[in-house]
Amino acid sequence: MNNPYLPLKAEILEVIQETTSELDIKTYKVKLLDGGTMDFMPGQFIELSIPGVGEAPFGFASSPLNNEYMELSIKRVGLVTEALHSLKAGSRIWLRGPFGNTFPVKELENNKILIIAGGLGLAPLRPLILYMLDDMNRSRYGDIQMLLAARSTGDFIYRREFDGWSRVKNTNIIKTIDRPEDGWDGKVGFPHILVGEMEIDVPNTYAVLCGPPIMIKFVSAKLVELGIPREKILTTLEMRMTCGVGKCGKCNIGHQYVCIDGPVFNMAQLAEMPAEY
Amino acid sequence: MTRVVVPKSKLKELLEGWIASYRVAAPVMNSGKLVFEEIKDFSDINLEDNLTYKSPKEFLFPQVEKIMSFGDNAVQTGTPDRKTVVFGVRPCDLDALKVMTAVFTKGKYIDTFFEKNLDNTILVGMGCLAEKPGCFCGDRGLDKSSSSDCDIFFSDNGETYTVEILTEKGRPLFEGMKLEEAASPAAIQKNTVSGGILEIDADENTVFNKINWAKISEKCLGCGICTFICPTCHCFEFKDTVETGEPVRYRCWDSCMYPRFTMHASGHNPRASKKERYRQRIMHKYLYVKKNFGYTACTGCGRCIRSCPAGMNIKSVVTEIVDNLRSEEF
Repeated sequence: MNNPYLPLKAEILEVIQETTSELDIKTYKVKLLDGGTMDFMPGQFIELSIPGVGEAPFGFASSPLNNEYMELSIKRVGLVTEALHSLKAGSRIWLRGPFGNTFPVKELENNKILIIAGGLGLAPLRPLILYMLDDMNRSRYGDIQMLLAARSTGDFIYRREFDGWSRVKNTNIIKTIDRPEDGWDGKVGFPHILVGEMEIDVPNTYAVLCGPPIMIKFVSAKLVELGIPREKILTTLEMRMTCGVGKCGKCNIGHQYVCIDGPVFNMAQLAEMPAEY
Repeated sequence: MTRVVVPKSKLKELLEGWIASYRVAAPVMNSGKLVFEEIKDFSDINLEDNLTYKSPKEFLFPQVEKIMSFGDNAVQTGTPDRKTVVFGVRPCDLDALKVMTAVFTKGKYIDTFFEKNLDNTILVGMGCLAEKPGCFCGDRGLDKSSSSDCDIFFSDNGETYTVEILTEKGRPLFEGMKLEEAASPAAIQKNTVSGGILEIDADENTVFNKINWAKISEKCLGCGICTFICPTCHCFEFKDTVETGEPVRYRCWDSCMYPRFTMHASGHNPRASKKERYRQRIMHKYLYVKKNFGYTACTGCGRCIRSCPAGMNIKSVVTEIVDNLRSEEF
C-alpha cells in the first residue's frame, strides 16, 4: 500500500502574476520531475509542500487534458503561500494527490451550463471550463454561459483568456466588477443581481458556482428562486485539510469529510448537512 | 484460540522471557501517575486493578512522530520497526484501538504509519475486576472483564490467570512454555446494562441544531486535556521543521478543542467558538464515527471525566442530550 502522505518532486516552470490589486494571486505552472502531470479530473485538489515550511491544499486550476504541465492559482495569505510566492521558475516544490471527488462531467453532458465565479473562485472552475471547451468535448455540452465577477478589473484572474473562451461556439461570457471604472467594457454589479437579468433555460441548465461564501449564498438562493433544482446547483468548498485522505479530522461537515466526500457538493446535499463551513 | 492457565507465580518468568525478545510496555507508576512505559524489569510493572492515566494509543499513534525527511526525495521515516508487546491493556482501551484502527486503515486510503505500528505491536489485554470512579464502560455496552480485540487476553482468577491466545501473532509469546490448558469457561458473565446502552440514536442535524450546545459547553475551558488522554481521539496536524540542514515533517496530535484546529489561512473559522468545538467533540464520538465506521468512539473509560479541570462529565452530557431528544420539545 502506498503512503498517501508522501509527496512527489515537482518543478515550477513559470510564475504568472494574475492580479494587479492588493489581492496578490499568482498562477504557477508546474510539472512533476518524474514525468508530467497527475491524472486528475475537474474539481480535485492537491496538497503542496514547501519542506521545512509546511503543506496546504489547493484546487487544480488547469485542464485535466493538459499532459505537459499543471496550473495552480494561489493567493498570498498564509505561511505556505507566503513561502511559495517567493519562489521563482526553476524552484522545487512537492505535490501529492489528486484528492477529492470531481465535478460530475458525465452528468453535466447534454445540459446547458451556467458558470458563476467570484474572484479566485474561478480557479477551481477553470479545469471544468477548459475540459468542456476542449474540441474533443465541446459538442457534449449545450450552451455555456459564464458570469465572472471580481471586485475590480485588477482582481480578475485569467482575464487574458476570456476572449478565447468566448470565441468557442455557443459560449458566452459576462464579466462584472463591483464599482464603475474608466474604460471598463463589462457590467457593474453583484452576480446575484445580474444572474436575474440573464436568459437561463431553467429546465435544461446546471449551475456551477464558486466564490466568496456570501456570493455562493446569495447566488444559489437566486438560482433556486429562478427554479433551478438544488441538485443542479453545484459548488466546491474549501476547508483546512491537513491530510487530504479523511484521517486528520479537520474538514468534516457533520459526518462527511470535504477531502474525500467533497470538495464538490450540490446544494441539495449541502442543505442536508449541518451548517458548519 | 488456545486457552491456558498461567499461575501468578509464573508471570515473572513469562514476562522476563518477553523482555528478552521484545520491547515490552506495561503500566508503570511514574511521578504518581499510572502510565504505559517500556519496562526493563518485571518489578517495574504495576499490576493493580487500575486504569492508566493516558491510553496506550501512543504506541500505534505517537503524540509526535517524524514521518518524513526531504532530501533529493521525500523519504518516509516513521517509528523504527521494533516488535513491541503492550501488556495490561484494559478492555475499554482495546475497544478504542479497534475504533482507531478502523479510522486509520479502512476506506480508500490507509495510514501506513499507523498500519506499520499496529503490525509491530502485540496487544496483551487484561480484564478489569472492578469499575473505577468515573468509569462507565458498562453503560457503553462493554464488558470490563473480557475482550477479543487483542492478540492475548488475561483474566485474573486470584491465584492464576486464564490466558486466551487469540491470534497467530500472539502465539510466539508462549512458545516453549509448558502450561496447563484451561477449561472452557461456563457461560460468560456479560455485563448487563440497566436502561440500555448509552448512545445517541438520532439524526445528525437534529442533534446539531436542537441541542443547546452553548449551555452544555458553558463550563468548558477549552484546554484540550480530554482529547489528549482520550483513547479514541486521533486528530492530527503536520509540523515542518529543519533539523541539521534537512527539512523534516512531524505528525503531532491536535485537538478539536483549540480555535486554530479548523482556522483557514484567510482567518475564516468554521468552528469559531467553544460551542461549535464542544459540539464537534461530542458529535464526532457519538454520531460521525458511528455513521462512517459503525462504532461509537467513546468507550466509557472515564479519563476525560477524571481529568477535566472544570468538572465536565461526558456521561452526564450525553445523558442530558438523550433526555433532551426524548423530551416533548423535540
